[in-house]
Amino acid sequence: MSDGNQPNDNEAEPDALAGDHYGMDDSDDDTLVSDLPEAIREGRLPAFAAAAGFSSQPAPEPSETSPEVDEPAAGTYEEDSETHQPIPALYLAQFDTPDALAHAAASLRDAGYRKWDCHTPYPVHGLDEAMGLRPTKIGWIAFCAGMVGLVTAVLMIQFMNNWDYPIIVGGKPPGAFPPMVPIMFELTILLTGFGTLFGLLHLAQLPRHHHPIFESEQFAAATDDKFFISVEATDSLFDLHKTRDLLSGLGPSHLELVEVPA
Amino acid sequence: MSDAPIAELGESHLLPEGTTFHDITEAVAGVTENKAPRGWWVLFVPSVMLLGVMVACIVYLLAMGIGVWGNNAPVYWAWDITNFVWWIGIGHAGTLISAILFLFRQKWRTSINRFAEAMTVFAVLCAAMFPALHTGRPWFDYYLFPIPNQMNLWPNFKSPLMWDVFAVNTYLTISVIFWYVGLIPDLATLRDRSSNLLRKRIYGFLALGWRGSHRHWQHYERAYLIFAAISTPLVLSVHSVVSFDFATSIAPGWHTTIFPPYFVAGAVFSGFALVMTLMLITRSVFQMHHLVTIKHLDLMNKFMLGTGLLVGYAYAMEFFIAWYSGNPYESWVFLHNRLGFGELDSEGNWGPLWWSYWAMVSCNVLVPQIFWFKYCRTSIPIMFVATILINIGMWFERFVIIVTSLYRDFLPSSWGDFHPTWIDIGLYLGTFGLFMTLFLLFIRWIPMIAIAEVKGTLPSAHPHAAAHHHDPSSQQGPGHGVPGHGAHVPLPAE
Repeated sequence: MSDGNQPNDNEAEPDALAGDHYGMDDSDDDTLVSDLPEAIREGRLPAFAAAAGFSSQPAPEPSETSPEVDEPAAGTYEEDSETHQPIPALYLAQFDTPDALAHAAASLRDAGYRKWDCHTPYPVHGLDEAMGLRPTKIGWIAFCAGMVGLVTAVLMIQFMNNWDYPIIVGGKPPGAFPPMVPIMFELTILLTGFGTLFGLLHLAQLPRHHHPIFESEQFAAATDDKFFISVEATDSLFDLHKTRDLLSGLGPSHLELVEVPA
Repeated sequence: MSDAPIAELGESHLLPEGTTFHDITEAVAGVTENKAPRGWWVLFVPSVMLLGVMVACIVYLLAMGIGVWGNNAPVYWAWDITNFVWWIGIGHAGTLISAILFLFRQKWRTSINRFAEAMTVFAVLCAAMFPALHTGRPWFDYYLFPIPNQMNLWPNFKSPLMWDVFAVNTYLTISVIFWYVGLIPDLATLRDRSSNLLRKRIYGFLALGWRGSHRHWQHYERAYLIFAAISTPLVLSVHSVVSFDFATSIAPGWHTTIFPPYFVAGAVFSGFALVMTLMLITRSVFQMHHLVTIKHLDLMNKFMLGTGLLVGYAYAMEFFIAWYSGNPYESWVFLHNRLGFGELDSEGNWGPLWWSYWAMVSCNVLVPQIFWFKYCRTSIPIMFVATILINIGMWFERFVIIVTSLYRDFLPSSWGDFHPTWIDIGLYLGTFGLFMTLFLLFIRWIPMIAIAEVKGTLPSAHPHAAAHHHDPSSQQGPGHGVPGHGAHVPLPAE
């Protein structure tokens, strides 16, 4: 990715940029896939490092592009790939209103799908129920982290001011309780905050800069004004035809099969 | 249309009717994508110059020592601590708007919370600089942290100054985290709109690969609620702890139990005033009139009126206690040092800093009274001048508390006066340079209005009859529809 601001698809498809998230993972842009440093293709470096432009080695020369969509450059992605057929990753259905989305979500929930998701520009209320989600556990993570903070504060102050180097200030006992309160409070808050942040990142499995859903150009609207449902191919109920029929019956304004290069 | 305003209650739309999701994206994201308007440069260039003044003052201060300040016996705390308390107070409005108004489901906050949170972070940075320099040898400031040092000494946790270290650092950290977590969805919006690879990489990196997944939103909303819930007591604690720096000492004028709530109310008051000042400027420079409407400003002004009354009450109560306690030293501080009444001192003066007390009262108590009138609450020039006066008044409040409590001590032989030096002045003005530079960079490159949250306040933002277990009664009330509505885990079925 040493080509800086000049991705190879700039001249060919200027309009594609709207949906091109990282300039490197577009399914219809095999040259960029081939640009990936060896380390990332082999999974040794996280993809977000590449997205940020940290490459462990100079990018190889781009191979000759073939204009066909969904046709990976031979031998650049997986050496042992025989057919180079793109692999279906997920169905992506676009809806224009939150009402349509919630209806569709309830249908998918009732159909028994597990590995599917709604993608919205803002948190849409009522989707928890429509998707049948269980309550989040992040509160427990935050609470435990906060308690660690509280205990840390007590132990730290008692160790430092009472045990290791007792100091008598203002005629108070070295381990007096009242002066500990502000610091007990602040450390509880501090660690609750860290617990919440890292709990959120852990539960959401973020940062994750590479996801098949970004292969879709349509998906850029998910952070603007459109509502999406994705059904992942790894779901046990996923079937190229049945899932498509189910989704198209829900009245999406756009439906596509998102594929990743083989 | 459960989210629609209830006309019978006098509610009206926050944003003009017919505003679409895409309008909001365009308006906010466009600021970071278009060329900076001339007004931005007009503000940015002097800000950077002021920042240069600050850097020059700090370099001089480090080279010469803090004797270059005007602090001297008996006024050992002066502008440095005044500025510290003032800047910390400024920051409090940001947390108040982002956390406390969130808990109260005040959805009008969404147009201003990002703004105010950024202000918090930058104001706390400005504030933290002053005590760090005031230690005299800032390169030894690590003694303040509970880490082993070469003297084999631990910090004294019974000192309120130590509490301050923890409170301010926790506040800064939590404010940054809260701000950043709120930014993630909006950074994803900028990423998806990027027209060149550099922007895409930078915003993409910062957005952490956010894809608007509802499974993420579910955790995110609860996390946001937790941040709001911990920030609320945190913000109250920070200025309380700052007030302990004074209240736990036995100096007359400082040793007062009213200080914690008094400081918190004053902090919120001054912070709101500065949010208003900056918002009025930004709103006109970037043409944000449809997102930050007169209705928002009206509500902000009401808030300032309320906190202004609280502050006025605290001023009055200090006098009452000075009289009611029967403590002659306390009465002396209030009548002589502050008001300028009472006996002449040995040099034949009334308290020579009496004017600072009256500057404080006129700016903080009298000026906000204009907000009883709707005309003043909705007139941009009037509120602009009023917010500036309030900030001046709040700076004087801290100056009055600190300097006029110290400069006429118990013994006339130890009386002294305080005169600021050029370094005092340059450093204070310089922090405006630091603050404004950071702030202008923020509004230029980061979505200054919380895109995702504002979208959630649109009447069409939430499904109406879709979810099967939807509880229509939960839709009532003016607060419904606050984005990041963390409590929205699945409701029990009806």
